[in-house]
Amino acid sequence: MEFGFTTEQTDLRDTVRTFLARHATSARVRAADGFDATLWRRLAGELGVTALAIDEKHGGFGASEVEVGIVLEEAGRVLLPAPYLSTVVAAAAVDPALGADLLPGLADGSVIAALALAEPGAGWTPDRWSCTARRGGDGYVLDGVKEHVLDGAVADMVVVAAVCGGEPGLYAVRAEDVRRTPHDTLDPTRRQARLEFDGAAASLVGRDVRRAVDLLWAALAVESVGVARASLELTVDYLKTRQQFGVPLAHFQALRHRVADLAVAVEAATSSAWYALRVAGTEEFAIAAPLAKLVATRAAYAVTAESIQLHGALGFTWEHDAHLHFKRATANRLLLGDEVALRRVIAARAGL
Amino acid sequence: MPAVDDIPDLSDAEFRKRVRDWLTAHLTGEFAALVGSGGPGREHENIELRMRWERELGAAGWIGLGWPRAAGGRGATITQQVIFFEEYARIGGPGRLSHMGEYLLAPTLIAFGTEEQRRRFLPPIAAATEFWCQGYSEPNAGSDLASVQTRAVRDGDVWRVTGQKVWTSLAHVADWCFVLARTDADAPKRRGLSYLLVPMDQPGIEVRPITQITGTSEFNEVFFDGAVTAAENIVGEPGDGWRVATGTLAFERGVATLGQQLGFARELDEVFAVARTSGAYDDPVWRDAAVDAWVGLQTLRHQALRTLGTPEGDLPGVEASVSKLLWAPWHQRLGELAMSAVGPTATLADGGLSDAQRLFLYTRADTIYGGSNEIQRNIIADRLLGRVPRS
Ligand SMILES: Cc1cc2nc3c(=O)[nH]c(=O)nc-3n(C[C@H](O)[C@H](O)[C@H](O)COP(=O)(O)OP(=O)(O)OC[C@H]3O[C@@H](n4cnc5c(N)ncnc54)[C@H](O)[C@@H]3O)c2cc1C
Repeated sequence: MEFGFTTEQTDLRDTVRTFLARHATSARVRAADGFDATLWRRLAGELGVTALAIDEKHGGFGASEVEVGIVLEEAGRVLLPAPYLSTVVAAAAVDPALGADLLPGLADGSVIAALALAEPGAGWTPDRWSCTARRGGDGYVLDGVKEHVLDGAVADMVVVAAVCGGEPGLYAVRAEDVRRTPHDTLDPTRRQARLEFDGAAASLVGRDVRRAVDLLWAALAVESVGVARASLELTVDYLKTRQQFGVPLAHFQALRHRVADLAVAVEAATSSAWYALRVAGTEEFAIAAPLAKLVATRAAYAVTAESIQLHGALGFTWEHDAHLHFKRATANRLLLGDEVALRRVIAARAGL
Repeated sequence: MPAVDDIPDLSDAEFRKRVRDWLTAHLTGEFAALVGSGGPGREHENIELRMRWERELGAAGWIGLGWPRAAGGRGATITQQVIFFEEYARIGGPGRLSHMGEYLLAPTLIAFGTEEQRRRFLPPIAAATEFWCQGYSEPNAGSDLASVQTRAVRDGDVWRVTGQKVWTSLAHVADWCFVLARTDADAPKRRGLSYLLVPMDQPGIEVRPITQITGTSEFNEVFFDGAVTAAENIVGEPGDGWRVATGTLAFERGVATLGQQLGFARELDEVFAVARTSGAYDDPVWRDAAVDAWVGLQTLRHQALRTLGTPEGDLPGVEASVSKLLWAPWHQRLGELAMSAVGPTATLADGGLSDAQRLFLYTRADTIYGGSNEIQRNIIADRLLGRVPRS
């Protein structure tokens, strides 16, 4: 199985990493309050990363999940305060046979999209979501409430999971037709919103709700790998420079072994996340995606929590970035299915 | 008659069929008794028959599959080697006895040996007419391998070896031992070592079995008292022993690991089966832990596939350590899960150890042999944080 990257893919990673290192600095991320519009415009416009996986005939580059994954991992490293994950996952959930007209705007980044799945009190399982669609107007009309919509307050368009006559589907709704309540969030680098639909005009853009959830899981997984890697690097650098007892902390075996364990967790997370992306077009994705979400977010949580510990009191401050990594890792871990919920999904899908 | 001369020309599917057909046709008759034997906690079983089975494998060309053709191997691709392991595990092929020759010594000879050594030693490994054991550990040299004290002195056209090795797996079966010995007492620790190939069947060698945690015996003490080996049976130059002994470790990129995982999968299936009978499966807390073990196994597979599938890994040279730190504790937890699946009767051993008990007990070794988990952590930490200067 191919796990390596082509030269073009490596170039893409380098370009995005260089760009984000320059423009998505800690200061910018902190000032953005979850959305840096300038950064978003440049990412979409100059780098064109929103167009990667969209077919050429719809204004995209016709690349694959792998290219998107590369950008997502880099976005995770800097805790990118821009709706990249939400927009590309929403775009991937759109079936071109149904919603082709939406794709050019998503490809050029002029349209920010969000994926609305979870509902208040209904957990993360689609069978308990009760948002409904019915025929009306030129297409459909949507009623219901969605919660925890990532970047939901800044999206121009929302792709909503809803049931129409017993059939699950994905419906596109324009932001102006939705009542939106932005939340303050534990993770200040990515906001969530509550969305209420009260007879909102909608169009059917996809039928595979399960795949939409799987895509979101895989995206959160690979983003979490980026978060974990950045956090581990920060920790390693700190242990090498901070001196106590007359030597760098990096000399103490108790700490060295913890770092080794974290590195192993990050390697495993990387493998599972990238495995999921590599099998995104196959049946295996149904298990690989929740599994990647479970493994990668668990690793990111462990790494970022240990990062605070290994930074001492400095890691407990608002000033230091350790808490930002920790909060993103926590959100990614709990959102759209925590570990127990994911194990339930995996067990059911694998017939365990 | 080798069934595998044309391996490089086969598609993966053809190769898989070739392996499966051969195993199905040959793991029959007297060998049928070997299915599932010799695994963890069962290394002592059916030794004679397993040696004959090795020769059956060897005669068909299945040993040395991954060695280069120039070295008398079959030049199989990594994927093909993995397929062989998979099919071997799938059919329940018995625990191997030739692996120390095939996977430890042979790559060492291919990398560091002379042409004569390769010609002399590789064919009998491939034919399973000579078995090997690894003589590294000593009473005072475990993790600190460079401290070995067993001495070898050049005496005319032989080396004379004196000292003691310990924990030597399958020394009682082996015809030869690759020995790390001190040939220069005055040189710095690592530079005074040499890598010698020593025949086991001689008056200067005594092998004493050591009873293991399972009550059975697979490893031994080996006493050398002026044991001899021909002068040319040294790999590398005198003083190169450390480089030679450690040089091939980093080459391991997880081929064996992938095959091993199919064995793990069988064990996990078995644990689920036991749990269904015992009722543990109906306990959601137990089942959650079991599903997590299943998740862990998939992760091991993803890790191995990624390691094999990326030419330049993210942590080159320490992949083997990462892999060991993932699978060894996983396997240990599986042993614990197996015991909890059985329930209180797992504390009884009427009529001998059960499979769950063997797994449980044997897996305590997984985090010790082949470089303990602490040593693997040291290796990774050295890479990430730099080595700590010794005062
Ligand atoms: C089933 C089995 C089969 C084996 N087969 C063979 C064989 O065929 N040939 C062979 O040569 N050897 C063999 N061994 C031996 C094996 O290689 C050694 O057991 C291993 O290298 C550890 O050495 P030790 O047992 O002396 O433990 P020690 O080195 O004494 O270690 C004891 C404990 O201290 C820890 N420790 C040691 N040094 C450090 C350090 N620097 N930092 C942190 N912790 C440390 C270890 O991790 C371990 O937990 C086998 C062992 C087992 C269990």
